[in-house]
Amino acid sequence: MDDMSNDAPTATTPTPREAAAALDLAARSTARTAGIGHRWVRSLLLAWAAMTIAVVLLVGLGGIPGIVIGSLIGPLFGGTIAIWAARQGIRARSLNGRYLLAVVLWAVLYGATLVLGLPAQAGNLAYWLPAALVTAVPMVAVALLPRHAGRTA
Amino acid sequence: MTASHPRHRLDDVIHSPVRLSVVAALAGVEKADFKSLRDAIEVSDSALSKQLTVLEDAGYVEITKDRVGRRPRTWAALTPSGRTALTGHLQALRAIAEQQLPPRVADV
Repeated sequence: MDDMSNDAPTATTPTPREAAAALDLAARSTARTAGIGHRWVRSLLLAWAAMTIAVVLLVGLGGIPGIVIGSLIGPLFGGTIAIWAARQGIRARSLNGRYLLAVVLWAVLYGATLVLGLPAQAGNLAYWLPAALVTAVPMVAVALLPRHAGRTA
Repeated sequence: MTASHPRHRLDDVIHSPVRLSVVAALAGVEKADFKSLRDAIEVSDSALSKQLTVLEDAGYVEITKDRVGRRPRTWAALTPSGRTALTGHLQALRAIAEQQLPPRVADV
């Protein structure tokens, strides 16, 4: 009987209703921060994708002025988003792996697009438009992937 | 004394609603700065500061500092032991919530 009495709920033991409320509170807290962390990363990646399309089209179709302007816009945009990202107050979980994968794929596609296109396809919309869209795919794909499961445990 | 009742697995440190909110909020991210965490769980600066100190003393949260330009920024991140404690606490809460709930009307 002692064991049973010791094991009985006490005044500090949450009732089932209180336990359920605490679980709900925890789930909402986790979802809120995870959502904020995911949203700004998604915005960054989609902006990066849009800028990629613009720069590739500018470089491929704009002649020498396009190459010059594209070369200026790229680093300017990169610097701006780096500062913006550094100011964000929540770092999403699993960001590093996905982000790194997207950046590596993007860099390979971007480099290949320019190396293959600039010598032989300058001004050819049939090459540069699909190339620009394909180059943006890694950023869009990672941005639209479901976020890391926002479970508390 | 037996430890069969799930209340024995509740964690005293994170039993407080604010501290539970803090560790749960941090469980969903790699880290969060003080302002974002305060806004997410809707507490005052002083309340969050106090609870973060308790959690840091318990080894559940790691506090680091850096700067954005000239402005100092405080980051909080859940430690592995904090994550383990949260997992155990939530499991205990689930057990209490599920095992002791009265049967639904449809089940009677």
